[in-house]
Amino acid sequence: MYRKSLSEKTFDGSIILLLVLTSLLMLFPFYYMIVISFSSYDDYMRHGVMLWPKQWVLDAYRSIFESRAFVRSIGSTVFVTVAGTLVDLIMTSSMAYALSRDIPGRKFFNMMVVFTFLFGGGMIPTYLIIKSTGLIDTYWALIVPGCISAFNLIIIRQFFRGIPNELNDAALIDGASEVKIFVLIVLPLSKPVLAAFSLFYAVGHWNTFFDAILYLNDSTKWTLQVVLRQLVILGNVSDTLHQSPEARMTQLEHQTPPETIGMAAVLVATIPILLLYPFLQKHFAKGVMLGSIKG
Amino acid sequence: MKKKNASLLLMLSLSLGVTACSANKEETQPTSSSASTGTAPAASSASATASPSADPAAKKLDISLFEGVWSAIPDPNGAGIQAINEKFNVNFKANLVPFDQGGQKMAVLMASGDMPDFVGLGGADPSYLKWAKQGAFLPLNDYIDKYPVLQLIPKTAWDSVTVDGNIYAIPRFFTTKYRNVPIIRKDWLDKLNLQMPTTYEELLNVAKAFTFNDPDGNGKDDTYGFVMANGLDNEMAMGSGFYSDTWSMKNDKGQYLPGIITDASKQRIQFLRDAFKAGVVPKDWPVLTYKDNRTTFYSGKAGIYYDGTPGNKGLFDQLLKADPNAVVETIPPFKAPDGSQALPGLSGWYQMYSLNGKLKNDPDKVDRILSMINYFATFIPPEQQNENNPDFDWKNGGVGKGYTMENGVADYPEASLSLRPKSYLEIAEWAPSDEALQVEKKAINPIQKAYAEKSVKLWSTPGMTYINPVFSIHSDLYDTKFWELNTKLIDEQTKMIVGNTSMDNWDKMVQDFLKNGGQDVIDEVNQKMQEAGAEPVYK
Amino acid sequence: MYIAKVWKYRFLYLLLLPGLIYFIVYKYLPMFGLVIAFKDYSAFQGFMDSPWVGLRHFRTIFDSPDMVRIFFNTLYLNALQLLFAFPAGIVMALMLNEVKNTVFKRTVQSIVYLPHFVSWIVVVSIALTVLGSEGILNSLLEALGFQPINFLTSPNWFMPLITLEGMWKETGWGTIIFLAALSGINPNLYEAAVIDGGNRWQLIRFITLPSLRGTIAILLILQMGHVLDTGIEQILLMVNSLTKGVGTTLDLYVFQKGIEGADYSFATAFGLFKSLIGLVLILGANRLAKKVGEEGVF
Repeated sequence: MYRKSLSEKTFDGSIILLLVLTSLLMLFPFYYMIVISFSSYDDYMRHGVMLWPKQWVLDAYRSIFESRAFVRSIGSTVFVTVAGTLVDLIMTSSMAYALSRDIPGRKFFNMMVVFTFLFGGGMIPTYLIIKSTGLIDTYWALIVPGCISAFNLIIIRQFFRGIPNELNDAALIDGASEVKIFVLIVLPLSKPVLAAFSLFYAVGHWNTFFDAILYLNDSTKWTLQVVLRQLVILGNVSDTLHQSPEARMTQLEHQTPPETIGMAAVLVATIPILLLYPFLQKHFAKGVMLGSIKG
Repeated sequence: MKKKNASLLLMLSLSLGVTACSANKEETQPTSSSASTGTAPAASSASATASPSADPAAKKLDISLFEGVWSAIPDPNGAGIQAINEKFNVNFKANLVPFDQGGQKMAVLMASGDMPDFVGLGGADPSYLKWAKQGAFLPLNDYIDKYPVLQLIPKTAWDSVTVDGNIYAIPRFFTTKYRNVPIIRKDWLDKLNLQMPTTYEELLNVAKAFTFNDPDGNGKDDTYGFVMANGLDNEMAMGSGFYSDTWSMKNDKGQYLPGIITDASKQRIQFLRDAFKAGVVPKDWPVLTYKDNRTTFYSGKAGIYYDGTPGNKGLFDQLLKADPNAVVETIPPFKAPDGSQALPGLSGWYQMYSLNGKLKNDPDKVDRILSMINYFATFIPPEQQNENNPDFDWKNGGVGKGYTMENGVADYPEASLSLRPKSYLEIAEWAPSDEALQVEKKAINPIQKAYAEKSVKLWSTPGMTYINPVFSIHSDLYDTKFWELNTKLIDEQTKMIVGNTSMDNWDKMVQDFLKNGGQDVIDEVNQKMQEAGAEPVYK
Repeated sequence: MYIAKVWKYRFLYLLLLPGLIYFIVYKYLPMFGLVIAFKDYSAFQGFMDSPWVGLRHFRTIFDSPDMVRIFFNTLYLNALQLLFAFPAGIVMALMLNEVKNTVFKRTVQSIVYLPHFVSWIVVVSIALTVLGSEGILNSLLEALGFQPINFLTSPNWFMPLITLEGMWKETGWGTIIFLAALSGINPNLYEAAVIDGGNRWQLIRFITLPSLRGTIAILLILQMGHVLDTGIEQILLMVNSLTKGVGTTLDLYVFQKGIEGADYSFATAFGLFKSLIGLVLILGANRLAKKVGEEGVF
């Protein structure tokens, strides 16, 4: 071991300081939301933002968990997230792998993918296709039509290309088939990338909102986000240029969910998916690829 | 090779596009009921009770509805819908979505030929007019005479939904009175020995006193004269003549002008400018929202706001906790430069139902739908809204189940939403008059009760309610272009209020408005008003 | 020869096939809907029978007298994002990569990615609390003897605030891709460099950064495709009458015209217009990347 010089120490120290400050800055709103969600509505109304609840109450959480629709939606969401992420990963990584190799026509297929990154048919034609492929009112409508994101595909392909060719060549010489190379060499080597993208996909499914409303007429199948937004309409972004006074009065009459419930709902909807991260994080560890090359 | 592939793909997609479209048409054409069968829930038990006869009501019909709703969404298989299925001998599928998303899904359903048997719409907006002209909806002119409740709908409401002589929608009831208008903390006035303001000058003095003279007596400088929000929400219009959206003043050519460019509005903006300078409104008001303002007023931190009658129970409960001695009153209107002294009325209806145009060969189904609407829209007077009225009891899912009675007032718990048939077809009942609703009777909170009683009395004064003549007309320019220009005017006025620009810019602002299409709007609106014989009315 | 090559890669084509079918069915087939950009769409005449109107909808986009301003606002915001938000993710990933203590590193990682899950409405409401004229920051400024700043109503602050909020929300999330890329670096390289006497900066400059080059290039190229996109929700929540002039972007303008629902043809034309610009820029960026020796996206 070599001794750290003074400049090295300042270097490390300043990085740690910066990261600690950034973390605090990013933790603050969560703290703020947690405090509000555990405060009584009266306290919140009277004191506004508090550093510590005057009195810890569970009212907000109780009113969320009392809703039958909410409990039911957890099941739908977990299913869509797990099944969806699996389908996404399989579809995306297999296509990405094929496109990472020098197969004839590769350039054309790549163009085809990039093109969809920019151009889409829009909501109505997509709806028509989803309808004519029989997915309306099934969970598959939330899984199949978005199972490969062009963006993710392009990046995963880039990672696959980064795998040294010598590896593949060596394996080929050893008599391994393409199947074996993909399953036994490429996939294990790509763990960090696959972990990262399963997180992206899972979060996307977890947050399914409008697709559920659009494609599922049966509201018992709706996902968590839809149900929670019903419990607490947090914002009225839908306001466009003009709202009639009648519409406005009706809206005012119905939109009085206490902010305490709003914050609790956001936390309840977020925490399960947050818990996924630490599990995937360990796959980002260094040196995975090295081990295989040496071996 | 690339080119070949591309053209092949195009051909493929085109042909599929065509078949997809035509497939749609066929699917929904013959008996659109078949489309909605699919997953009929455990409604079969209901059919057992249906009496077999030649009566058209004996045939069990599939009926589908799509609507964006403000309230919570009930379980699609709840007891409430089963009760509807039994009572009307139907297999009712109510596809309800949150209101915010309703418009978008509606557009997709309409565009992809998936319109259900009937739909709930927000109003006679450009989308409605477009769909109506395209023949999406069933003309109802020949049907409406048969249903007693529909007789109660006033001509102005029918006029608003009529396109080329055809009635394509059934308007739903909304009060004409009780719009959100300025309200004031009367107890603060009394405490500071002030009179109810009758001019903008007096109003400014009151607002100053509310800000600086510690009206809540807590010894802290923590109150505001009034609160307002982004987009000039709570524009502090003290009477219909001062409102930005009323048409009651005329120009030299005798044309009615939109309120937002009149001298009355100029006077109002000048007041707001002075008030801002005096520091009686939150300095950040251009970034605040109505939610912030409601919180401020109903936690007892502001003296003037605006709200409807009877107001929101939850908010008044907050106020009661913050200050049990609070007294809230509607501010009586000031005399406007046009000589009027009235409160602005509403159109008398909001939201509507339209039926699928393809039902023209299915009169039984049309009748069944209209009967359902008729039944749910039938008025039950407040004194009969209890378990002794069988219709009330049924609509709300039975006492002790769908609703509970406390001290003669019905309470509808969120938990029993799906037990109430009403949750699936939530139509406001058509009341013979606004007074018949007796809104003040429903208030339990003492502050709210006192406020509502006084406010209802004020609104009941003859000549107090101004009826906007634009309610009776349809103008494409007014529906679209005007609101675009209106936003710009609000931006300009906001700049004047916070002192970014001078009041001298007023005339230029008005000229720009007229030049950029505002005059065209005024011409068209006035022409249509003349055709319809519409004038401002004070009821 | 050609066929033999294809046959050689038959397994790879098999892997390609499901994805290909997916793209054709769910991405390319709906594109027939794009014809509607040149038509006056009527739901009851369908996509094929609606009347042609040529480029009318494209002309409508440029109809507004404020269009120059709106374009400028859009590009300005994207430039800010490219200059500040994009590098922020790389810098943070590099910083995390330098941390030796695994527990600390993982904790920080888990924290910085939290804001991604906070909805805009909450982000904006916190921003208002902090930046308001009586907010925490201005109270601090006043206590220190400075003039308070109208962050929320001053036009100059608008786009920088939008960018800062975006950075706060997405930087940590953006590090994930880079961290995944960094985990593929061969540690031998570092060891060798240290033996050769390389210091920390040199290691970052000559080993870490170059290994991120490919990922950075691809992300930059793809970002070019969305140079006219700004999203709606955040801006809509932040904008007010005093900042509308500098805050109205293309997306917001079209949204506020309220035509999305009513005029499907216009909305499609608008989307197509943005995509075409994006295509040109992606092609350009891709060519540039190849010139400097990067692989590009196709």
